[in-house]
Amino acid sequence: MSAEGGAVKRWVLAGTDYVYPRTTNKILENYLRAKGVKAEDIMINYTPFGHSDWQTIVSDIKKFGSQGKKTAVVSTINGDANVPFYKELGNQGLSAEDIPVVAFSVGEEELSGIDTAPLVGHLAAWNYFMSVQSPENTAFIKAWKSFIKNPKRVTNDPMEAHYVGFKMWINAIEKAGTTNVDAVRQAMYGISVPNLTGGIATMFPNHHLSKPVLIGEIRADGQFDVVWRTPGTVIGDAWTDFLPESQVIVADWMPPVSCGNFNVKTGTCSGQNY
Amino acid sequence: MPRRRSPSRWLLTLIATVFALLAGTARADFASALADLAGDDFTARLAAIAEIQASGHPQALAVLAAALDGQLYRQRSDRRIVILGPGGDAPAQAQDALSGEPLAALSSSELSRVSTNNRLRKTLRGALAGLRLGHADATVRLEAARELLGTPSDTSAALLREALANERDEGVLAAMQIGLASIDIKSPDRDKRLQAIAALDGSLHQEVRALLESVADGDAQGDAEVQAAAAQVLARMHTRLAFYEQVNNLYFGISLGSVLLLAAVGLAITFGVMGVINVAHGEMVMLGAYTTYVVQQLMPGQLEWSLLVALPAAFVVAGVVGIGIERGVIRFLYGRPLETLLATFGVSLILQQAVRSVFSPLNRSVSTPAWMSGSLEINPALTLTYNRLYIIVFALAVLVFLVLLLRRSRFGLEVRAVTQNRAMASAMGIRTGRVDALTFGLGSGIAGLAGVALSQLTNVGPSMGQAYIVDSFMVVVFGGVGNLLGTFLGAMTLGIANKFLEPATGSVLAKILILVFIIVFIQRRPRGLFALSGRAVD
Repeated sequence: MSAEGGAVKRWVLAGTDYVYPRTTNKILENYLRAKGVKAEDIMINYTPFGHSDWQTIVSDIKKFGSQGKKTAVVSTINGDANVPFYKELGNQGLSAEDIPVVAFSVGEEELSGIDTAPLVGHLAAWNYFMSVQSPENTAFIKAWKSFIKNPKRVTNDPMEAHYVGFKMWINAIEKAGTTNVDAVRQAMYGISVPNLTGGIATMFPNHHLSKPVLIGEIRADGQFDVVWRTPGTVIGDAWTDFLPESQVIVADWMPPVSCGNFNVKTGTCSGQNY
Repeated sequence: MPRRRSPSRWLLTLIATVFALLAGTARADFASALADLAGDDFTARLAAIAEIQASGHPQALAVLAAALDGQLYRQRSDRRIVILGPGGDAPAQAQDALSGEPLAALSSSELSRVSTNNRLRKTLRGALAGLRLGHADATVRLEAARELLGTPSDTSAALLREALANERDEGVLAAMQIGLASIDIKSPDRDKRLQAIAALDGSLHQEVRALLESVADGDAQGDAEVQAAAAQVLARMHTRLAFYEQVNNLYFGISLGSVLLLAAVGLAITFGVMGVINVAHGEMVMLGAYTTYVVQQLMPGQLEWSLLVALPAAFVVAGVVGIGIERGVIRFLYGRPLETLLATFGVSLILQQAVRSVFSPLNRSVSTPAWMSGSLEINPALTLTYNRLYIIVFALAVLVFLVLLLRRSRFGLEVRAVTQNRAMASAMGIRTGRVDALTFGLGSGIAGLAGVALSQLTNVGPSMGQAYIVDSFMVVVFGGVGNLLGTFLGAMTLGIANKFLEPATGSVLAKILILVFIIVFIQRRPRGLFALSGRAVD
């Protein structure tokens, strides 16, 4: 919505039909309405897994986007359906400058198996990109490529999450002195390890990490050019503040609360008590 | 008063143009015009702008743009005119205005800026847009036409009218007309507004629709007649747009139908001839797609020809595998449909895993040649993508080929005989075993061809066949077994119905409704649209 991003006024929320896109779009819709976007400027669409016939939907997006207001697509389309979607966008003449698509589920690994020509210029949002320059990242990529014995393999965000999580777990075990699950869990809150993009990842008592958010533009070689990033790291929010039913809930696993689903208004815990 | 100056200014332009043409030495004229522009005589400066615009000199655009931006300077010492690069005061990059050659850095004390005032700037803007309107490059012309929208005036309207007469490019012509009408529609003159609305009648552009909607909502001068006129034109536009949307849906439906046809026609033949339920049919499609991938790997430089080479290759590969399956598995299960179903299901799993082991579990990337990308714009409301267009043509070609094969060739005769009455055909001397194998090979080969087409539309992965096996059976059951016309009509009906439902119900519900419809249809006509008739058919 910022001028730098293109001052987008109309939004298309396109997702695959299952819980992750449905929830994401619920939150996104509330967020956009809270920011003053009108209901008729938001178009939401769901497709089944592996949907390959995008003609009608892309034609609708084209119509939606040529009403004179700058339009962008937020895509939570997962899996195989992405390829024909981007191909159809390219074929119907919708370039990334006209209607940019920011995807939440398209990373380096997905791009490595497809023809990236129709995707160049479109965007993706992750917490890590293989193209980020940092000493930790360079070492990690080198180690991965020699381990997998294939110089063409890529690294991506889920891999970085594994890296961070595993290191944290080791640190917590060393701190707790045991592998007992509860002891390790209590020891983990507050542990910080360096992430692969030059920052620090810390474990918070809501069982979420602090991570940076990066927005990258797809290049023809399947890598991303980082075009925007949060100045620091963002603490993960277990219960979103943008949905009224979740606003009043917090997760805090440290005593005295020790609950993942604690309603601050009613003062009750609806989850398991530990 | 703007109106009285306009004709004299145009007269001036005309004279300047004629002079420029007759004189021949455009350069000398340009140089003198440039000197005038940087001079002090206001009228001469105005005339100079027109002269520069008309001169056709390669530097004309740069000079006028620099003057507008305040980047035009005169050197005190030798009265040479220079253009400074962007960067404000520090003379970072200077170039000679006449030749465009870069100059050494000059200090600000040496230069005096060529100043402008509102009148000059307005004239400059008009001249610039006018120059760009006559540019060789259509994109520049388009931009200029759109830019003139931002400076609505009688001058820009006049410029547009002039350029309109000579414009050949469709896109630029449309943009110019819209530009003119959008300027006129805000004109204080009521007649001009009504004229503009009438001029916009027949346009299919979304921008025009937005403009008309705003006028129909509330005319600038509050004139009810203008509002009503706009509303009328808008209503007509809506009807036309709705019509083209249905044409679009029809095209989508036909392209989906052609995909279904390609995938299902092989199955219709094998099912018709042998009564075999071949669950491995989807894998034949997958093998065809992988053949395309391999062909593209083998000939990396010739992407344009790769598809044409892949077609016979895919037919052969899939056909050979099909014959192998028939000879190896199905022949022994003749007359036992349930076992055949299980066996072919097992074969499909084997094929999928073989592909996973040989290639990779991940999807393979199959590139689209340039002649298959992009789209054909018939009008602003109707765009046909090339890949789908070629696939429709290809599917029809395959259908025609099969019809000719079945009706005109000896092999086709044998296939039809075995389909109608196997025992009798055998008694007449037809080797039914051979016909079975070859038919299976043919059906699988056609599926391979379908795979080549589908590799352009969707992902190529080990389980890509699974998405098409259900659709293929749907088409065959609905259209009638063993009948090419039935398969064709079945595929087209299902494709078109799906695409007409989709805008209303969404893709998931559309598919569900189609399936429900087929179930109900089969209750009424168990044999499908075109049932086979013959004495042995049960």
